[in-house]
Amino acid sequence: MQTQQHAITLSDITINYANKCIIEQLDLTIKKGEITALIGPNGCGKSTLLKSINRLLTPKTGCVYLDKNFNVHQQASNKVAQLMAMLPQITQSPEGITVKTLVAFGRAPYLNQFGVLRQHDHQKVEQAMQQAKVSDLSDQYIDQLSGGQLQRVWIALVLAQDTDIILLDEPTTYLDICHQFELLNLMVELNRQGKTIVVVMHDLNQACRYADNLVIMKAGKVITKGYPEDVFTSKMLKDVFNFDALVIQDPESHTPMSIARQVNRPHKDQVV
Amino acid sequence: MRIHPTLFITALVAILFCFAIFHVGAGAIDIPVSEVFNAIASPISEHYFIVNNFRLPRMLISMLVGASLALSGLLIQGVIRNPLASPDVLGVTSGASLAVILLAVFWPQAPLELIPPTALLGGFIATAILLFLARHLLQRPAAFALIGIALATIFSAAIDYLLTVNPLEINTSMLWLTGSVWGRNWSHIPLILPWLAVLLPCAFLLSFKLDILALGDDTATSLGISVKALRVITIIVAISLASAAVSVCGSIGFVGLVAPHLTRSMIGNRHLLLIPATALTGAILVVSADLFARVLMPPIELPAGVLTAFIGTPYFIFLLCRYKNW
Ligand SMILES: Nc1ncnc2c1ncn2[C@@H]1O[C@H](COP(=O)(O)OP(=O)(O)OP(=O)(O)O)[C@@H](O)[C@H]1O
Ligand SMILES: [Mg+2]
Repeated sequence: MQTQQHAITLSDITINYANKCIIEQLDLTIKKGEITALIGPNGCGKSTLLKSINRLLTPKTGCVYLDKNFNVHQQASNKVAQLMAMLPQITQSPEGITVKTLVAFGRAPYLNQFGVLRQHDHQKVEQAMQQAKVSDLSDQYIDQLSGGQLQRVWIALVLAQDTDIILLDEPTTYLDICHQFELLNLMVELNRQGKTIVVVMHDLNQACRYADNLVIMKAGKVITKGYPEDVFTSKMLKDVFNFDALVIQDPESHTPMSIARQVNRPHKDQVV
Repeated sequence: MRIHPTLFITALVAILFCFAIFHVGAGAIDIPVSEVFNAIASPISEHYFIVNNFRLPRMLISMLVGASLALSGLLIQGVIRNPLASPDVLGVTSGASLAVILLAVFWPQAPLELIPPTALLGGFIATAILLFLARHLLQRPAAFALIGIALATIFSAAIDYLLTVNPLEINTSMLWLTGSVWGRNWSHIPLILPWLAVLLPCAFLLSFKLDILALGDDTATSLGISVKALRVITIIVAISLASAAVSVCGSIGFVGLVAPHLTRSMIGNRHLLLIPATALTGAILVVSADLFARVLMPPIELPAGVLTAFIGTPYFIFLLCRYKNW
């Protein structure tokens, strides 16, 4: 029964780059059907952790399980790809292909050798483009898009993959404030459909608002995890981010939010 | 500039066909275009013997070699995502040549059938050395290509040395090395045709995966591709194609670099279409190079490889000048 509640279980994960140890003996479980936000300062290993979950990196020790007997590093690659999709922090877009072509690559784990799309796949692609609000860009070449448009096209690709687990590494980068919230709302909508979402975010207030759970990392370790109400405190912000802030309740969503304490910035009148 | 792929491929077939006819027709005895088909098909034609015994096999070999080299270049560029790569720039073809020369020097009576496996072995050893030396430079196309060029130079020096100390071999070997289809006949076709017959379908089977690999290793893995396995298989196919070409006519330079570039700029990045288009372009390049090599200054016959180098080297320099990510 225990494992049924966990979408992802990491046990004893150690990850090295060359001989630098980035993550050491990390254990973590991600609850099924929830939105989990991974937060922490730059370089603390968030992307590294997501990559190892999605087997873009092979950990030196430890395993990643999606189910009790489903170790992602030992399963056929496209079988894992039918269960878990990921938006990387840095994407690499080839020249000379259209938005629709790129999004259709999201169907790859379900297709034959030649990548022929069936009726059903076309529907999924259309639906993904609608959800990510890129339907009207469908026939444009991707080298002609703005940064934010491109980011939404990549999100459409991830959605077209139609997996139960979605990993998003800073999905709101490049997006204007309106599209940021549209994306976050889309995340909630997908979550209501039963998808498990792990998302790396730098906007802590958005994280508190949209995530069921926070996993807080520092220097390759999980410092703490839990409901935003429980773990999101002034002390945590000081310890983890070295950030002096007041934590108050968001008047809109009633989740915690942080406001920076004014420290060094002198008043305008004083400068003049 | 984008052309509809089917239109482009049809045009390539037509162009190849024209060059093929001119190729068979041209030579010391000129056969008019209208006579060519007759000369191929009917034994009573006065040109039947010369066409069927010399010109036709030579033309077919040019096609097969061009297609193999071009395809090899396409696969290599796709898999290491390096626009400057091709089997000759990376030293694969000179490695294969060196192996064949070694065979010729140390075992002059070796049967013809031994040449392709020897070339293959040479090609693989050259690639292994390259990958070892450049293992930290895979992400830096220009540096990677530079190491390949240096390796190619060493192999060529070794070939020169072997030919100088074994002067008896020089004449035939020299011609073979500069990439000539001169004197190739039906007996050489079995050295390359079976390879292409097996490897071309392999390339088609890899095409969709190579499209996905263009999205980056991370995305490809996310989408269920075993990136490492794909790399290894594709490189094996590419080296085998290049080595098969080398085993019939030495190293014809720059076809593997130019043909994929040309087709990419015309029809985009889908490998399913790029594969036939690039193979056809390569075939056209070598057939036309051999045609011009014979008709430019008769009775002198230049090796086709000299002509492709004349066109290809400036193109390579152009690419290097334009290349920004040093
Ligand atoms: N390819 C690499 N080779 C060596 N070290 C790396 C590599 N990628 C990341 N690192 C190091 O690993 C550590 C963790 O990196 P990671 O990308 O996981 O951080 P992050 O938490 O995602 O940071 P950010 O918020 O800036 O995206 C960093 O110290 C980084 O310098
Ligand atoms: Mg990161």
